[in-house]
Amino acid sequence: MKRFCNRLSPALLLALCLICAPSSLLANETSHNKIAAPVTEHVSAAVHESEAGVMKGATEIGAEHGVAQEEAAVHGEKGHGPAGVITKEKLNDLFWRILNFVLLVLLLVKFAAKPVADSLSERRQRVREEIEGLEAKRQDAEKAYQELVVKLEGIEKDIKEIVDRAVVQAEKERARIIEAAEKSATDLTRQAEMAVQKELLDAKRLLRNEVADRAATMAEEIIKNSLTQDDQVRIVDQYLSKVEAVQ
Amino acid sequence: MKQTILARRYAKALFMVGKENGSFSQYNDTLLTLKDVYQAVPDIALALANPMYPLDIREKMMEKVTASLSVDKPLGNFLRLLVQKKRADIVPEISEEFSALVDMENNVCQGHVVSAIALNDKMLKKVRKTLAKLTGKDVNLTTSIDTSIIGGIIAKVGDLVLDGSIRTQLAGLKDSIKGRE
Repeated sequence: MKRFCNRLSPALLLALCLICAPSSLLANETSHNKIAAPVTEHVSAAVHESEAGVMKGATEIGAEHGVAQEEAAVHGEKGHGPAGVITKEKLNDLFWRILNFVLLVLLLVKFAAKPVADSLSERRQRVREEIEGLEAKRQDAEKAYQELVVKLEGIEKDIKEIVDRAVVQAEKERARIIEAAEKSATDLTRQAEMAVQKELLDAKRLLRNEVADRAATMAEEIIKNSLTQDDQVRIVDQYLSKVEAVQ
Repeated sequence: MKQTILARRYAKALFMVGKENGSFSQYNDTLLTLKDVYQAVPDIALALANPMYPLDIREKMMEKVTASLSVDKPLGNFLRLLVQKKRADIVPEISEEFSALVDMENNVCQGHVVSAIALNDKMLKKVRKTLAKLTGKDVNLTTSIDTSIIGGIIAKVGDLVLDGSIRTQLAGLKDSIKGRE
């Protein structure tokens, strides 16, 4: 029943507006006619008096004219009252109009109420769903915002931890690189020293060999040049004596 | 390829025969002569050991050689046996082994002395005496001159080598200088 009333309320409001509109229109029309008639009469009377030849001051005329206006205003006030004259024809016409309108309203209620109500209900449902969806989205967004805020705080913490770890790792890497470099430098130094030592030994060996070869060659030459027959015999004797002594 | 072990067996057998009849010195001289012939005419060894030639021909050839050397019958048979056993090409090795057996029997060894100058008899006698002391045997010395040893002598007796040359002493001096740190 309530739903039905809800459906009918816009239609009834529309019908009431349509009912009131002709009556107000009719009342306006009637009051206008009532105001116009005394004014016309006052104007014609003034004209008639001027034709009679009595010259009066302009102030008097103005006063009369003001009286006439006041009277017209009084008549006007009277015209607006519920005691206006409505003819039978107008009532009949009004009746048919109302009947016509009521029929129209009934037809509209009969045939268009349900689709309109469905449409409105659907519209209301859709709007409600949209509102609910938007509310849910808002809540989701709020929740996401809160999560992001929390995550942002966590991210800052994580970033700090990562930076700390990176710093520690960099320190370790720096120490390792320095250690490796020092070890490499030590190795290079040792290798260089060994190479120098080897070169030195080789040079000494070459020099010694050269000296030995030259000494042997020079000794051979000297011995060959200075060795006499007696020396040869003496060498053989000494050698044989040495061999016998060994025996 | 030298057939030392085989030659030693043949030489030992021939030496035993020669020792029985007391003619191993003569055999030694004959074998040394044959060795010289083999070295002078290498074709003899090829002809005597070549299986392409008939055996009787090779035997007759060996008989001709032995007849020219006037060898006795045991040595002639020995040489013919070598032809029959196809060992006629190892006669030089047999000669060397036989000489070694003869030297052993006579307590003699062979030596060689290299010197920068020609050694006089006195020096040779002293060298021989020294080598005899070292080996305990009489030494038959052969000599040669090599001026490259500068001075001194190099004596070889069997496996024993006595190097008293100036060249070797200079080489030792050079090695000692090179080897000193």
